[in-house]
Amino acid sequence: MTALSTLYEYLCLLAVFGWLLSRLAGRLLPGGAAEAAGLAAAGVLLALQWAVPQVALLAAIFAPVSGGVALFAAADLGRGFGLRHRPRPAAELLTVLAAYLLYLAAGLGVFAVDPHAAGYGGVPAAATAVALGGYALVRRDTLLAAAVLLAQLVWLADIGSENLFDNLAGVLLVPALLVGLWRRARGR
Amino acid sequence: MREEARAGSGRGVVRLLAAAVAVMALLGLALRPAPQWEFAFVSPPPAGEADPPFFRTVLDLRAPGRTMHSPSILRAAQPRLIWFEGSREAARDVRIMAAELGGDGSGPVRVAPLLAAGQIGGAMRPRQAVLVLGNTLQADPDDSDRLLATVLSVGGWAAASVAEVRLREGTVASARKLALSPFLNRSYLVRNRVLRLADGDIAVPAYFEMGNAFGVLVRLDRQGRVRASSRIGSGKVAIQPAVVVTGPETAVALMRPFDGTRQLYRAETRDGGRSWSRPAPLAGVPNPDAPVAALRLDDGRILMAFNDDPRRASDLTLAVSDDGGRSWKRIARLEESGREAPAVYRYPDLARLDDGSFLLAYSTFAKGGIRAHRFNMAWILEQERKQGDSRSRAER
Repeated sequence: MTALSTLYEYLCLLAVFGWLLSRLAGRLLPGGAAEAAGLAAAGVLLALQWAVPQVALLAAIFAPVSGGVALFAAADLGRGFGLRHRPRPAAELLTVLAAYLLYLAAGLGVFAVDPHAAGYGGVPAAATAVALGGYALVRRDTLLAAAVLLAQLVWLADIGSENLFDNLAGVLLVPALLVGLWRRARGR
Repeated sequence: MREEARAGSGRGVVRLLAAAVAVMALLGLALRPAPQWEFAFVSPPPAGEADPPFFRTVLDLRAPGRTMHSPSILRAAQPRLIWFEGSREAARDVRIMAAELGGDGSGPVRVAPLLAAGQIGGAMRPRQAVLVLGNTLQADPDDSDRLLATVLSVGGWAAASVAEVRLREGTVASARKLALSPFLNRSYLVRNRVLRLADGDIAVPAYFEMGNAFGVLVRLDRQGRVRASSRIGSGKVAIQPAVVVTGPETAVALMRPFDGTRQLYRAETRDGGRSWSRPAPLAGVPNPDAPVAALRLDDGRILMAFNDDPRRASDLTLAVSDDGGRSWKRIARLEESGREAPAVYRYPDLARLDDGSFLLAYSTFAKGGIRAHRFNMAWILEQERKQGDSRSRAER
């Protein structure tokens, strides 16, 4: 299980950092080439971190990476290679961003309630997954449904974080949502 | 036509995925149910009240110009003390050191490095840069090869994480960070002794200190994975809970103030640690912004080691409480200012050993040394009698 868990974590890091670097490369390179360059650069970075643990800061800072976020990053990377999916409305992105920032603030002790603790198991974790799955069904959002299912699978298999909510979302969701909103603002 | 067919197949896929999510949610309820919170309430080992009283200093180390701090007792047939040591606190050269004590508690048998930051980072999967080590303690009351280490990869203590480390034959067999915070898994630290729960899980008193500061009781299963957590306070109040179990479902947490109050904080649970009362300052128990150590005596009272001063940690005092930690009676002053310089005594740890005796360890010389004493119940009772006599004389 340790080997599978390690592979999963590296794939998540590759998807997320490949996506981040491809956004930067997109300033200079055309679609497709930017994604390939981003993935290659992320692969080199991760290989370096595997070889020299003393500089393995990406994993130290970001692991465990959310599988849900990694799946969305991978799907967005796929756009550069011709994969098409329906763009999300700006209102949805804004709602998710606001809700996630409130959740983070609660995690930092700003509010007395601790929603992160509900992600370790029991009814709240199950209800959250069902609610998100239901929303995906109503919106016919295959990617969201797949992200929720992936998060549940790795959570129950004790891969990555032991908290379902960490597998659904992570801090890297914030730049991803901001990039999405920026695109909507520019009409893309 | 092709568009319609594609839309229809998309609907089918999303229906299938949503159904799978619902099935997995049910499976989640079966595999990750809300845990039952109940403490393993066991009687302490025989008190030995009839034995002759004894109090021995079993360790007194000093490293001029270096930092030695945050001692923690590893309970085993041959007890050990661990602490962090380096050129300064949070320096890259900090190691976790260990001193094996003789079976009878007489002196250190051997002092040697136990853990280095690089060993922990190298054992993590994926490998991670771990640059600095801090408070480290025994993760399992019955296994001194399982540790919880406060680790830093970036920034200061507010950016720390907690790593579960397993040792095998003196080397790090595995290490992983506990997932405790949604914010990059940062700002959780450990300091005080862990507790056993009735179903075999372990409750770890931890704390958060990024901007806000509060205590947390983290529940680990036998594999060392987090299964639940409950906050002890919120906002910026108190940290480093020393949790003392007083019954299967009751416990008190004695906490270091972090809001400038300069009084010890107390919180309690009546549902096995699932929820906690709001921490409140204890009248008559000053605190110079320092952690305390406490444990339950076999007669139900609580023994606490603390700094009895609102400004300086220049004393180390023992006190007992017979009302669940609400009021305290000082029984012995082990250190006080004027005996040595710098007179700064901090981070006590207190444990009951297998033979019923007590081991108390703390840092001395303003994080420049480690001292440990071993004493028995008869000595505690003797100190109480002496304090009672002196109070009677003063009243006369």
